[in-house]
Amino acid sequence: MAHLRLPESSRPVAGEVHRAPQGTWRIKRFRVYRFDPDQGTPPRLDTFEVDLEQCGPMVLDALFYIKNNVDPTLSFRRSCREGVCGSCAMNIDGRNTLACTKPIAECQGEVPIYPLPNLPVIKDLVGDLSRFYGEYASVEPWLQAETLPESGRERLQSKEDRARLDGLYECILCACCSTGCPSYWWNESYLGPAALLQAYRWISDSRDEAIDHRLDELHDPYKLYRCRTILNCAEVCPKGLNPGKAIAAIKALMVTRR
Amino acid sequence: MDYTKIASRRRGAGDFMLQRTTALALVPLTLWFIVAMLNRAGSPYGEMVGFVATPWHATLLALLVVAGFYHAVLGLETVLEDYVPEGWRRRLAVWLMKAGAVLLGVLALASIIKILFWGALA
Repeated sequence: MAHLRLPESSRPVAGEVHRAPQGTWRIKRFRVYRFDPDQGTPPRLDTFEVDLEQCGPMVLDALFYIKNNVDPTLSFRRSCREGVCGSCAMNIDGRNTLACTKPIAECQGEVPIYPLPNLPVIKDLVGDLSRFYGEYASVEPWLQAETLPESGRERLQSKEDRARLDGLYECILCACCSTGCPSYWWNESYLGPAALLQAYRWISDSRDEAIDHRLDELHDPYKLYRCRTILNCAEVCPKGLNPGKAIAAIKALMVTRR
Repeated sequence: MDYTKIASRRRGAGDFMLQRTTALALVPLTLWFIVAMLNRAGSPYGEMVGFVATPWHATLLALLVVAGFYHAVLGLETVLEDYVPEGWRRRLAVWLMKAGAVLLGVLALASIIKILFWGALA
């Protein structure tokens, strides 16, 4: 169901302002969402002035600058710092994206940084991804085959069959797409673009023999058909994938399969 | 809620197809209806009744009514599911909407049949 406003206790209030030291001449202001579950206070928006001369080019670098030089209590996830792991997904300058691949130079003016939308916040920019990972597990993201390959060795794939996985296998499960989808916010039983893209990745795999089972499990007015082709998913995917297209392909298979 | 095990209701594809089929059917039917009405704008009552009373026009009109109401029911059900909180209120709203659609749809069909076989007002 549609929820158009955040609950009262989740609406951020103005927070602290951390000014850059005197004499800094390349200042960029970041407005960062802060929430500490131990304090029992509503979330707040702290403003940090970052010296760009002392900081790398990406938004993640600015967060590191803040954590190392201004406020060590700032919490965020990160790992690979090159767009491969998906840990540092957050809402930057109004869009879900990866902090490590988002250049500061692309952000005009003060840069607002929030956790991914609609997730329960654990602390600061760290959201609870339990639902997201649960849905991923629900599509059984592993190869399912009863028959053994004729060679008795590995399951071979033609180049064409392998190519059908392009645009699907690259997903890093950063959750930018699902948490950017209003239908996902409002329908708890909707699997969301990431899980459906992954489901289609296994449906498309020439080695998998459980396609009927997979489609049966997706055949549901909420799990699959809550996709309204809003396409925020394709708009924000930091890997340039199109989950909306994969969902449309699943819908087509639902109709064409006997 | 255990998100790793969300039961599948094994339905949805039928509604998906019907929504698209009725949408496709409504394109020519609506165009035909608009053109037919524009051509007869300002015509006297008897001429309008005569228009409905021909088998072809009655058939197209009946198809327009069926496809239109069915498409509307599917769309409105979605709207209610999106904007009415889950529970008895939503179930009641969906039921009332469907009952209303059946009532108006059957009324429209009955009117067409009446005009086709027995002409205008008794």
